[in-house]
Amino acid sequence: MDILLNLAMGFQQVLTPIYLLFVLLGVGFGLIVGALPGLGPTAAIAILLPLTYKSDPVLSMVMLTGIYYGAMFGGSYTSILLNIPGESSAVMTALEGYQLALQGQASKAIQMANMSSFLGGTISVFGLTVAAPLLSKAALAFGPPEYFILMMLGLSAIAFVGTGSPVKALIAGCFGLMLGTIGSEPITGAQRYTFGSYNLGDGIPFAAVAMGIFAIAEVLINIEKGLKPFSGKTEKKMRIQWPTKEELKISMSPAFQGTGIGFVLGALPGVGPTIASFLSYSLAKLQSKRPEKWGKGAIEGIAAVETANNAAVGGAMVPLLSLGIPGSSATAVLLGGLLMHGLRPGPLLFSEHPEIPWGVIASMYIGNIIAIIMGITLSVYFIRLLKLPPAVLNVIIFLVTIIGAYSINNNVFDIWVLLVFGVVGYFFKKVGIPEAPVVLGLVLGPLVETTFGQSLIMSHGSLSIFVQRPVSLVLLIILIIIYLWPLIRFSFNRLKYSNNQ
Amino acid sequence: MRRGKISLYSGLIALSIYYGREALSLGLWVGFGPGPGLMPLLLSIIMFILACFLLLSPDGLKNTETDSFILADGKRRLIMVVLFLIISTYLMDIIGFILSTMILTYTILQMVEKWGMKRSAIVAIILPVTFWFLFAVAFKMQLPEGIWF
Repeated sequence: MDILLNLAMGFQQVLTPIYLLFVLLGVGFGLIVGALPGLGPTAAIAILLPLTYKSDPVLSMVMLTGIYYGAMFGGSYTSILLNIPGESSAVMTALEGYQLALQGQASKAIQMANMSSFLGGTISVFGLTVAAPLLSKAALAFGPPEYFILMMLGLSAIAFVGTGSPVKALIAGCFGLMLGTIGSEPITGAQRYTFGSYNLGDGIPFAAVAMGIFAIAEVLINIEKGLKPFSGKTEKKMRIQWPTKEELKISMSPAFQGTGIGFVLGALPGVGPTIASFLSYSLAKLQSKRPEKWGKGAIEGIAAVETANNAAVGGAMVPLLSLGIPGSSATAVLLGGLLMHGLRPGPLLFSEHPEIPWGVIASMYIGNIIAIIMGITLSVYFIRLLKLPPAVLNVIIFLVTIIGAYSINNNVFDIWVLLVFGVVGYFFKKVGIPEAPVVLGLVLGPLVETTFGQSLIMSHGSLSIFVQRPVSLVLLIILIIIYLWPLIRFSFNRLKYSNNQ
Repeated sequence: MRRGKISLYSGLIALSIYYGREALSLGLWVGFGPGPGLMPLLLSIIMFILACFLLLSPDGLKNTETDSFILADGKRRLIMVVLFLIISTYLMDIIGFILSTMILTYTILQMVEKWGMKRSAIVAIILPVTFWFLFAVAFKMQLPEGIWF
């Protein structure tokens, strides 16, 4: 009852012209920065943070939060249209979305992304409303052993993101993990494979590798084939195309599963939308009745990824608002925003300043509705990108990726990384080595290494720590089931076949 | 295509050997936990086995798309674009974002796409300046600065 009263108070506050204007501004800005590579939600929130210094704290938090989930909405657009993941969490969207765009179904893919983002976002805000205190306590039960098994679960996606040879997918994943070892070792701080370069001290920037291996490599392949950068069909009329009833039906299960995964993983500090989207994608592919379609334009893959990364935003707000713990870089900047106004998030915030958390939560419900309306409207204009002359589109991809790479550290070195991985991606594409596992390995590698090292330090070198803790044990059993799933399915089918005989 | 694949897989084998050798010098175990070299060593062993498997198995060398690794008629275009990308990146810190991307845009449109000089020049001015206004002015992002901007 208290929850409903507080939520009603939040809505009463937010449903006024000035608040709606700030939600609109935040979501609109978020949609644009999400679509542009390099300028993620963290940077966008940081840019606008000083401007909110003198405004009302609820008003400023409503706008800054709007940027966060707006960016998740927008992250899918350039992934689908140009094979450039605007956000790291949209890498898997590029895998299926770009294939659909090549088949002349870009609009359909974008609408599926919009609908899934809305579903994931709205359900996760509902979760934030009712389950915040409970989930925040559960999140604290996660230590390094649990995180390690979770990361191993994420790595299992390597086996599912490739479409061809599993050996090539493993090579790509292993290559990504090797890239992840470059720079300072997470436990001892020892420098590895840096060749004395201080630029490599912090490791290889993930965004530059992703843009190079996906976008630059694709453009190089198209240039080699004769400058047809968008080598697929383009819709004759730029109109909104919706997924069919059948496509919506097959996307339901991955979408709801993705929402659950995204919300729970989003609430765990340090996990965030990227890992949630990888895991949601691989689990959905594992359960799919048409796995052969994945990697070639499976629309349900977009549903799995987009629900997960948007639901992770609601999840990430759980530890921030209820415990004052930022689980990601974007929520850390949001925490900075609250502190700037002299407010300390945590259990006391709900009792002493209820208008702030409940105002933000209510604005997220409204913001998701605004985001889907804006997303559907803007998608028509985004799709017009594909109508540009091929050569101009190529140049635009080069310029956007160059700016995106440079913006990571304001360093030309990252543009060199972009180019090198563009060429590496070109050769990988030529021999049929999938690109997505490289990115997955690069993201998860350092996390796997850190959590494994921390776990062993905790247990004085004993591996038994992974089976002694209940949460870790449950996750380990799930991990074993996932790895043995093909064998289990094979045995089950064989048994069914022999029974039928 | 076969020769290209053999070269790539051999390159991966060489990379794994170098990686493994370096890993051994980093130390495998420190105190109660893994040392900086343990994970790279494990990865290098896995990479070595997988790359050898592809090199030796008939499936690994099977043709994928085309018979030639780089298409003969596309080779010139590809090399030119990569070359211009390298040159413009090198110039980025010296002459700044706008000028270097103007050169890149113009050369790609005029020399690779064979557009007319006037048309290439107009697009080469409009695109970089538009992007500069959008990112550097509107979003206040830092872009490479040289003698201009």
